[in-house]
Amino acid sequence: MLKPKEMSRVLVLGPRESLDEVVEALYREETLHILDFIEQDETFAIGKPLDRASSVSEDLVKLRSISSILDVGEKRDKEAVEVDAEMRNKIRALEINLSETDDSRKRTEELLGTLGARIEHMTPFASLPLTLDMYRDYESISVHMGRVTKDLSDIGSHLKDYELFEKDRFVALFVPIEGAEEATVYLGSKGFAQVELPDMDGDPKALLVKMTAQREKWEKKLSSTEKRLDKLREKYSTFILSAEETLAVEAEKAEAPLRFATTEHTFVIDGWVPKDDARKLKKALEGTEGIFVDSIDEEDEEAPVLLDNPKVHVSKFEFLIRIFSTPSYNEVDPTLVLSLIFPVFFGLMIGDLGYGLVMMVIGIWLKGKLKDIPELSNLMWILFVSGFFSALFGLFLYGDVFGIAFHYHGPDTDPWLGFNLMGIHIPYYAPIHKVGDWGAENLIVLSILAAGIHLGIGFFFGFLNERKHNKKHALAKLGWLLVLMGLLIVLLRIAAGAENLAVPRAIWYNELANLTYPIRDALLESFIFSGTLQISYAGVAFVIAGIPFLVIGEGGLAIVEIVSLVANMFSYARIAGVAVAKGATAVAFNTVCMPMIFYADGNIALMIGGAVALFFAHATVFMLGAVSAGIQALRLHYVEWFMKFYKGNGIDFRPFGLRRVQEV
Amino acid sequence: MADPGWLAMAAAITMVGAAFATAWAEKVVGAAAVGAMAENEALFGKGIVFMVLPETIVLFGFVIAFLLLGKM
Repeated sequence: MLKPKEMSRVLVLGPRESLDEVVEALYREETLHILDFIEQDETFAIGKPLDRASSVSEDLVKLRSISSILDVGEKRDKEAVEVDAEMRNKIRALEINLSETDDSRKRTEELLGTLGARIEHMTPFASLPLTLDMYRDYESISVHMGRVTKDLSDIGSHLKDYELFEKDRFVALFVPIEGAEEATVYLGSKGFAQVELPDMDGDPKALLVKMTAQREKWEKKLSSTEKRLDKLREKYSTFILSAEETLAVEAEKAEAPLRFATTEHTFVIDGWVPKDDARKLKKALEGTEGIFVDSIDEEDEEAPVLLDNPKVHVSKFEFLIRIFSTPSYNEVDPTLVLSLIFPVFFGLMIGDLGYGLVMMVIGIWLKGKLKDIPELSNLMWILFVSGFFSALFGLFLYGDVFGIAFHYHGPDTDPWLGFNLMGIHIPYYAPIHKVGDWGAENLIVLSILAAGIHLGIGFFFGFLNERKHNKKHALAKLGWLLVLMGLLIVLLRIAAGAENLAVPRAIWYNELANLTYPIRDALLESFIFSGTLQISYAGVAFVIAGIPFLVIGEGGLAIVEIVSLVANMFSYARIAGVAVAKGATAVAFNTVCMPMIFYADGNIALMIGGAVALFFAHATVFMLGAVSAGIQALRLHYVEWFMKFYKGNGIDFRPFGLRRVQEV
Repeated sequence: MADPGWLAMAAAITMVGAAFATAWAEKVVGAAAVGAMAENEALFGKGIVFMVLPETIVLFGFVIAFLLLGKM
């Protein structure tokens, strides 16, 4: 569980004639992670693709172009397709059929485009009572055609000799050649933009009618072509998608030898197989004549990593590790601890029975709905578990339901924000009230305790990782563990000195700790400084005991790093921060909206308004809370925790034959 | 015992300063991290780590603010 699956290195040797069979067997077994052969020399060369590779990839290219023309998209239902002559013929027929139709569609679209432009050009000329030849071939007259933006009614005062045709700001102005310049200046002042004369003869109105009729004809043709394409899509899309998938598999198989080393007559495949599957793979391969399989168990950093966690709960957190980086082969797999602690941190931050129950319902509901998208479905499971811990802490640690104090918190509790509203009294005293007196301080202490446990596990994992690797570094991790324990004792003991803090007092003065009181008192109740800052000897002793390990393992500068360990521990105060901030927001909304509902004096509109406002307010707190608690809980793992032991950079185990479904 | 008003002011100023510093730092780091992620999506994990590092500043502010309020 804490280690990835053990791998065996496998070498497969055989005659080249059997290559096809071996590839088939490997693909079927789906357990060999092939190491690509790269370094060529005199003896070994990279293998050549199987004979069918070129025809398969040719078909695949054709099919992909067909599927892009038809725009088949993604359909769920698939049919079984055989790679045979029938399929090839079907593809070829489809290609010919389609390329004609597609060409004609493209041509028609182009034609329609030109026609549209010409119709648009001709339309203004059709509104003037002149034929096209009347605009050109003059010797002594200059013609100006175009659009103006201003009214031309004052033309008489600017031009002496002219003839003007105008309709809807489209003008044709005829002036003697001598007056051309004046006309240009005048038109320029009216925002004139010239329009070229269409390159045709005759009456523009008649031409326009003719062209419009033509356009209608081509549009009909286009729509019939598109209908044909629609029919083809409907008829063949299942075939196209299925054949595409089958051919992609075939292409992968046919091109596999490119990853093998070959000599003139033999081939060698190098790869990794999970140790448990090695025997089965060997059996499957050695069925073919002339094949020799050798497997070696070796400890190798380079081995691919297949995380090995229980399907229930733990494996659902693996993607959170992968987002950061896959662990390397010899490293501790942190998924198990992440899956146990993440929901607890999340729960401490939300800590509300109401929100927790809503999260559980949403999580379990959407998990079923999103079965097809594994990552989202896993995320929903995480939401469910986190919701469970939120509800648990909400009930027993904070006593909160949607920001309402569920349990009795003392005489200061506002009546509509406290248990009085519910009319229930439960004889249980919630130890921490997020927005009450000393709530935040208690939570900070609790966060530091969480830091101690969490970072402690981190240093222990660090020790396990370094143990085989570098004895000195492993020693330093132990030293850090001692320093951490020391700091934890010092900080918690200082907190216990404050009379009002329930949490640290509960830690030091509980029934169990009381049993050891002579030792406890000797160690913890004697202080370097007395007064408010009570630094216990025991804590300091732990820190000092750890320092030699640090110096031996990491050098003298490591002592300075103790400060950053303190910073790391305080970084866990974000648990308190999010809890208080979210709790306070909920209480604030309740304080505004609750009186609207309960003290409305029969004003129904006010009650409904209050209820709606309250609903949206809590929906907002819920969303923001879930997002920030999730991010912060994850961050504590990624930053503070991983820095203590995690290296990552492992290679994902990708067995030959496993189709990468979620590549999109 | 200090004047509670001044203690509250001190706590408020602590939070403002720390939050502003965090926001400033995350702005710079976040922009760079998103840029790097656009180049290579595998950098998401590391990007997020660097992006959230400055949050520690505001947490120190948060802790100090509560220590101050505790003296009221």
